[in-house]
Amino acid sequence: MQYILLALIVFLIILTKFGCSVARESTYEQNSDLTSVESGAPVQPAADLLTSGKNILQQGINENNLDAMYAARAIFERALTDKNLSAWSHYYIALADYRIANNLLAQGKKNKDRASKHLKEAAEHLEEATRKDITREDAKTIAAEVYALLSSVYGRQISLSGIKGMFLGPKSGNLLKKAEQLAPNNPRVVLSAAIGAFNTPKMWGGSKERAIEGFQRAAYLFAQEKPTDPIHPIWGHSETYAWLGIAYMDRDEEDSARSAFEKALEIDPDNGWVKYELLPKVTE
Amino acid sequence: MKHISPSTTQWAKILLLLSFAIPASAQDYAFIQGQVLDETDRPLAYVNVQITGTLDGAITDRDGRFAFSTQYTGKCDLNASFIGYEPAQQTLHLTPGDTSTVRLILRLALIQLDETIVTGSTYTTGEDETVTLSPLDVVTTPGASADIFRAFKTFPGVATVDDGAGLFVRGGDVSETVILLGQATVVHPYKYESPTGGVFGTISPFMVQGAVFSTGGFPARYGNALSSVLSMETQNMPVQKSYTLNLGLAAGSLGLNLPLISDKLGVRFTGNLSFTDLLFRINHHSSAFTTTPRGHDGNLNLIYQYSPTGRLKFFSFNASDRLGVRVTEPSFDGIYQGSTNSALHNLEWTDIFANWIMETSASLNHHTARKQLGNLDFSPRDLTFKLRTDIERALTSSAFLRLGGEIEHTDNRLAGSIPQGDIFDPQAEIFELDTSYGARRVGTYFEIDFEPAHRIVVNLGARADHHNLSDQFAIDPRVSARYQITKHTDARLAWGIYHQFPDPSKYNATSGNPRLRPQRAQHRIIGLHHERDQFMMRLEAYHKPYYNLVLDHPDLNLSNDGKGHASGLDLFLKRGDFLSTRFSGWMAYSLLKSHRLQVRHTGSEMHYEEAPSPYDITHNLTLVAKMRLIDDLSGGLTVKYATGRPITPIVGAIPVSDQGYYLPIEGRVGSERLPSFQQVDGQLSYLLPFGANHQIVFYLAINNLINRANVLNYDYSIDYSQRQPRTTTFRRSIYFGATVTLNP
Repeated sequence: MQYILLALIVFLIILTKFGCSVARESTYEQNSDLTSVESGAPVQPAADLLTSGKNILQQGINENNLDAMYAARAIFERALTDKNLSAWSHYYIALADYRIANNLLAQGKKNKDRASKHLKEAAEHLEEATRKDITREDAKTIAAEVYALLSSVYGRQISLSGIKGMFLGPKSGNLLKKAEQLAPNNPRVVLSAAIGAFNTPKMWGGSKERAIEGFQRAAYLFAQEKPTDPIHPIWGHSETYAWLGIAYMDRDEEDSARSAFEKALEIDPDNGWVKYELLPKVTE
Repeated sequence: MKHISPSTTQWAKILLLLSFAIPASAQDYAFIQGQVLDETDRPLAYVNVQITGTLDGAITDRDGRFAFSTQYTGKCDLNASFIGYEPAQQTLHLTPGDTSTVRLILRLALIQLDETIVTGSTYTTGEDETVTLSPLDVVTTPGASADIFRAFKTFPGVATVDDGAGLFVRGGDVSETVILLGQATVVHPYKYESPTGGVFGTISPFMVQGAVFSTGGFPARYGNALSSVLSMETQNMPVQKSYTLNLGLAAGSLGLNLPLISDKLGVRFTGNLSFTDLLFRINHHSSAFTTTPRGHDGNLNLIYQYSPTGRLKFFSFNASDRLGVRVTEPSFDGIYQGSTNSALHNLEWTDIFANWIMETSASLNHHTARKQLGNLDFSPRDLTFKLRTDIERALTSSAFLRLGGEIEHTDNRLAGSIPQGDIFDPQAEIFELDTSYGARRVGTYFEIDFEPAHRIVVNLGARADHHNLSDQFAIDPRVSARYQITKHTDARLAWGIYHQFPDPSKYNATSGNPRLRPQRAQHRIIGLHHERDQFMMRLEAYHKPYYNLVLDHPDLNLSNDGKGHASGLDLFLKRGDFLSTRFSGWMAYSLLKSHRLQVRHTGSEMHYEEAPSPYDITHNLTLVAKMRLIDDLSGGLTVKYATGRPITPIVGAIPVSDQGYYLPIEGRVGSERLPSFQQVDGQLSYLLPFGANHQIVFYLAINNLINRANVLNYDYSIDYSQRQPRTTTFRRSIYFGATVTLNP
């Protein structure tokens, strides 16, 4: 495992270095005080930062490794400089914050304040992304992904402080509606809706039954998903089964839960959350 | 969660090693290396260090170290950023082939500039992280009867003098608390008005997006308030369609929230009807009322977002109520009939112009009332027009400027017959009053929020007000500061001068004094605040001297000779919140000593005496506990204890005429106290969701569980030789109902 990571980092850093010299021809604004040296190299260094950060983040999630998640976050922050990609950079910073918050919360209540800070930061980055006037071809995809993630972030904030349900619940629902209009078959949109339904108290319109239906539909859509651009998000397939398992556990259906967790590991054998935390709960 | 990948500690090393391992052969490269530390010199890992405006940079390792090479040369800025810290910058001059070594210190981003954080003695409601009371807390607080004012009465610094909604803050009377809705003043904020405020507030918690309640030391933007401010914001754009129907033992209401054009135009409406007849009958309390309190009110809120930054909000509120009650006055035993009608219309405009956030509003309050008892038949009417503008902008990243001004014009008409010397017998002498006059107050202020040193935030400001009747300027300098001791604990200090012009009715020439000057108070507050996860603690001590208070005068009717002081200690402890923790609740304790110069009537004479103020409640303790019992069934209890308020006993009487009336001879002012006020209220609620998104909440409240007859005052016999305690209307009583919410 370490070797894979090492290779990944080498790759990443080399890319970054190449990036410096090329970036000046790229679209991002440049510090006018700087003089630069011309050189020929890849065209989209910020995109490479994002792709690499994405991989490090996924590794971090699988290995339950906060350090990697923070490292990924720092990489995404650096990519913010490229204005053309800044909506995606904001998205990935928020995704890292969301993952970090979930990881912290899984470690216990003592991290609640710290996790809340990450969630707040995630919401701010996503809100910032929605304010960007995006002229890219994938503007619709960005918007759908941003809305879906923001809705999940709100959902997590509600689960920490139920009071927020009053304000964030409707907002979250509204965002999902927008996301569904833009990309009805985006599996992460469907997953976010289902997580939202699962975490929201009944008082604010949550429903465990709707959640399970949603996880099942998301699982089907993930199986069909074929990413077209390396910077587009691909996370969520294995996670969908983890959530489905959690929803079954909530209904005391241990067998269904176990098979869902096993399915999650089939898709991503490195999913640490399932391997070390969820599956042991149903095999005891 | 013990599983940690073996690579955890190696990540940083790998990153660092690789940064150095980058081919550095080319002469074209400049090298940057260094370390990022926090204020206590501890290294910070995973900090993004980057040349501003480029993609060149590195991530710090476990020792906070970083190194990278860049092809950029010349002058450039190096930026380091990490979540929870304020970013740091350093300017470098890069030369190809050279190595620059840098040390960057990141400071914890502890303080966010925000009024509720700078100012002490402030409690908030709304959706922010820092709120102390959410709308849900309001409706789930036993004894609060879903009323914002009653819910704030469970907070420290607010004294319990009866079971109504009046906000008596830190030894002051109810008129010293100013109520704002948006930028408009709510001139008549209580339903069923009485000298102790009223039974309820007029503003429903679900109309309110958030509120700031300050019991002292508030900033210069709030004028014409001696003790306290309750500032509420109306709801914003509805995001989804919803309908609410509530039916209870004494009230029915209907609410609509409609987004007419998504994110552009929305409307909110609520209508309420209150009818206490059934409530009194079921609880066997109807004997005192000849007309049980009843009323209706409606409000409309239109929101138009005309651009991403610009918004118009129109808010209109109209309420009527009436009641008839048997009153036993020494001079007259009869029926008091009262009716009132209040309306408030407010148009608010918000936009951003050249970095200035501007808020302007025009509001109109209209109030008419009629009060009848024996020979009293009095109809006051007032009309208040207010224009207010606030503008604010950031001066630097850590300094804000806020400026504003307001004009408030009140037209008063007082008409009717008023008994002389409080003798209400229909045959007794009266004087006729028919006077109308206008009063205008013009005010302006500035405030600056800034950080004079790290961990310290200061709000500095001043305001000036002019009142046309008193023809006096009042200048109020104010300052408050917060020092962040640790991440979770801070200390707060506040000092300021506060002026409040007397109520316009006091300027009438017949029973008042047209030359009254503004009343003045000084606030001095020191406090400590600690907040961590689900726990919050606040301890505050204050001293508040009063000057120029309005006082009865034998020749001038009223004068500004009053003075006094209030000192005390407020403690607030809170744990959990209603939805996310099974148990939640808070405790508020206030210790108060308040003295004022007061009038003592001995027959037809009057003297002045320094004595405990009428609302000098020495100990005031409130406990609120809420718990989720099973599933969607929740229960709660509120326990209140307050020292009885001081009263002036009547020790004798002298006859004034051959018709058998007497004038009381008072004993020493405030030399007796009423028995302590004690009340326990309980509440149960059950949530039943149905359909996709709909729900019904059933609620059952039992107020005054211990069935205590709390004494509010004494009623005297005609010759003042005997007295009877007058007690709260509600003994143990039951209230129930249901609210249906539909989200189609």
